[in-house]
Amino acid sequence: MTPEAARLRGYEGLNPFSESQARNYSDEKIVSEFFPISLYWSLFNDQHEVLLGTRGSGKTVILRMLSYSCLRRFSHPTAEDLKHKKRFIGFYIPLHLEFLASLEGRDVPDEKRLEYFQFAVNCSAAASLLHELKALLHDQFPSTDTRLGAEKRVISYLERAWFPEASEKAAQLDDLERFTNAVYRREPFWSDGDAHTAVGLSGRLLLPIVDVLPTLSSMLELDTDATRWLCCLDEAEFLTDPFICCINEFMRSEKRPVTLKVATLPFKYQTRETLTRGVSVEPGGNDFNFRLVDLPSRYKEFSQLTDHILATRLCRIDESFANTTLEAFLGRVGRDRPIDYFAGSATDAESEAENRLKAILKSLSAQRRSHYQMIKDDSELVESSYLRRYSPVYYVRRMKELDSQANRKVGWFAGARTARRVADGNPRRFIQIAHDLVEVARKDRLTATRQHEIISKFARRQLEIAAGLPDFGRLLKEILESVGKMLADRIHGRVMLDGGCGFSVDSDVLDSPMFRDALILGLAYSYLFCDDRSMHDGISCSTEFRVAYLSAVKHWITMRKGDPPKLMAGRQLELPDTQRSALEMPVSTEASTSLLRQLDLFLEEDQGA
Amino acid sequence: MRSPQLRRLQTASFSQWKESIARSDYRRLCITVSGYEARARHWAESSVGVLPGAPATEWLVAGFTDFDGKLSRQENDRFYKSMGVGTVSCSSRQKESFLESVKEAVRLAIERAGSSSIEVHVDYSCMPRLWYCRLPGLLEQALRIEDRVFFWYSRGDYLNVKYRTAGTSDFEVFAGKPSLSPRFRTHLLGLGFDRIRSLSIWSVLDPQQLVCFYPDAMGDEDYAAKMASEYADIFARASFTCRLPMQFFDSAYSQLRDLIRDFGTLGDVVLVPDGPKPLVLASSLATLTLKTPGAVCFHVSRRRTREFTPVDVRATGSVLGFSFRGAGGEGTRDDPPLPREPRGYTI
Repeated sequence: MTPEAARLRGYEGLNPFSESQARNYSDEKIVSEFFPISLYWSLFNDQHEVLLGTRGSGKTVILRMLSYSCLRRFSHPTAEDLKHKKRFIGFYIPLHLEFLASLEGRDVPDEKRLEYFQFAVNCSAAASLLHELKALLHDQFPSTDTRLGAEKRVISYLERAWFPEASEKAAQLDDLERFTNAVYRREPFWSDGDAHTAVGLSGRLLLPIVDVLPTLSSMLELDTDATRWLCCLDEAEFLTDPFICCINEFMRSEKRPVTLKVATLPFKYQTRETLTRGVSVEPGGNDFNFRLVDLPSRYKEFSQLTDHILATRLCRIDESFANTTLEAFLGRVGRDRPIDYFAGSATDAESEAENRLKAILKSLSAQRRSHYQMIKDDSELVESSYLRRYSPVYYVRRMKELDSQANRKVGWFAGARTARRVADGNPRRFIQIAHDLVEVARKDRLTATRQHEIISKFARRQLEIAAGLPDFGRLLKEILESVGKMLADRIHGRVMLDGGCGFSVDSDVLDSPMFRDALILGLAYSYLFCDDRSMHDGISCSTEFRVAYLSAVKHWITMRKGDPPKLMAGRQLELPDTQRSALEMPVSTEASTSLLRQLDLFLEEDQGA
Repeated sequence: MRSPQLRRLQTASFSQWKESIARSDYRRLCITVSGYEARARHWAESSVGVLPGAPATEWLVAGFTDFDGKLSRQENDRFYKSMGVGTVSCSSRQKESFLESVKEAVRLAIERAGSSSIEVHVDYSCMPRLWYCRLPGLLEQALRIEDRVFFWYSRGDYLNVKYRTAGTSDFEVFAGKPSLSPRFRTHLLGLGFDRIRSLSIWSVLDPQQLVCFYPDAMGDEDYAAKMASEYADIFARASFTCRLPMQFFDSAYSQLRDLIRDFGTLGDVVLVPDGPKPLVLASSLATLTLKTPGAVCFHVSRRRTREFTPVDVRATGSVLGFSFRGAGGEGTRDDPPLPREPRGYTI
């Protein structure tokens, strides 16, 4: 069957995948593209939660979809039920870099800016709540007369509570939003303890909001006992520890009826301290929970999510794409298995199981070969221990060999499964891949070979971009290059090993703060992955790492964990170059190469080789 | 901070200005710096031959205490000494003390000029951002309506200079304040000479709508080729890209103001200039003078760490400039504080 991508041939309009940042999407756009993963529905609860997700994992979309104004537009049975019961009313507050960097008083330490910070967040929360109130009033009071009456009461109440000094009278909710912006813009910075004029919206974090919610609930004819207001704080990664303490303080004292949902990058929500000396918060359901947003690419939900994004965006070009899937768009080779793509580029004979086994045995270590001799009559064991285990390594070895031949191009990194794997569970990365696929589909057939080219180019470019990540970007790029090459050497060495993308890191290497921070940066931006436990508790020598499948494409590594080797340091670190105290930010290329030279990294081979 | 008005802002031609010196009898105050770049004396070297000597021409030369004695510093100091001008020691981080010195020098120049007009010339080619972006407002306030200010920039050869990537802590808001809940945000990113650094800024900002601007090649083929190849991936992600005529400051400034106004109708506009100094200055001034709600100008600082290696940027020979009039203390003040008395909230 012809891949649906062929229908884009000659299309000259805007690439529908050119946008990949959800922060400023309109409510309509957010809703139309939204695919509810199970995590989303589970966030409608009474528990304060911190959502940890890599850049582009969909945190913003999820938080914005928790807001009432988006939820009410969402056509889904569960959403209908939530909308009807109104037990959870969400409002969304972005804490983006511009907001935080523009907070005045930068000459004053953050520890002394807490009152002003809390005032600024309160202003933002008030503006956001006002936005949601419009939708709530509309839904709660369908009759215009009753709605206008209720709106008048709400305006009058909030005006008294938040703007007691205002001489101008607010006639509509928009006026209150305008007042909020004016107060925020005009209130000069004050250090903690100093006098200020922001009476209504100052005070502890979200307190002006918490104070008005019971009365508001009553005015809106909501169940005042049962209704929870979900305050969704996005981009908390830009918060410094003193500001995080304000959030912790709120979570510790549990200001009903507000429940916090805070989104941040992994490893950015570290402090457990509150504003009260000696009092700290505990995760694990005591004061709050950590929730991981990232989906493994192999999950069915990720396939559904990517299909949904693909179909929704392609519909902007042609509505007949409404039911497309990635498989249908790219076309399928065989059953979309690795052997199918291998067979497409290698000879028929090479693809046959018997010949594959022979080729595998030829490349295995003497030890492995002698083991084979012992079990060769047990076909099931041969299948699991040799064919299934080593075929992926054999494929990628052979594909690389063929690809390096002159005038030969393979179609190995191709197909829907590979595209999703390269996206690594990250919706934004998937959108970027789809962008590149559409660009080519405009003028060319998306054959497996062409897809391979697109994905390879994408991977190389993305890995290069890693150098531009903040602070440790250049070091991360060097590490990815170095580890990628070492993992590839295990795959393509003289002796075939059960290699993959997985590895662990020896404690000597992790002793380098620079190295550790670069790994953490890689994890936050989906260039590296680790086990869930380490995402919560921090990385250690028992953390199971793997490089992103971008690296697997660039270096021809099998897209699986494999027997993870350990990354070791050949030498002791020469202090003080790698001590944090001596660390100069951002790390330069020279410092990165110097560190890697000092560490003299190598992979300790697994014992089974 | 006072918002400059930039009255009668116009692009200034260096050659025409030099030709006009002989026909005018203005008293002049020239403000320059002496640092490790040879470029730091280029404007002065090119002007001193045609400028009358003291007292008609006075000099204020700030000598950086950072990287003292490195690269071309001694040669720069020697040059100023040969003109009979000493340097005032100043750390590049000491913005306030430099600005105070300027204020004082201007005050004295006006006092000495009496009823005659004066010209103030600022060579900002080697000045730190926080100095030269504050100077227009300060000078406009300090000078009378009949006085004129000239800002000069000696172009440098940057093609092989490598900077470090940026981190979140390097972002500082120079002017403006974002909206609490912007309907939409557009980031206007001024591209510098270091692709990795631009990528770093991009990755921190994570823009949804990206608009890129960079200077016109001005016939420099190497530069044009470098921009096209280095920034291909950023250009591909940008909704709109424009080249600004760095040699015509008034036009670049005006185009930036138009961009702020146009994209400001959609929501917040965040400027992040990281290109050559004239465009950083134009972006900063455009945000300051427009005072559009939700328009913000970031400065991304270049941290001079111990690993920082100074580069002796040489002048290419071309000098770009602009001028404007003094305001005689008629400038406006940003964001007046909230009155203590009860009052209405209006924007």
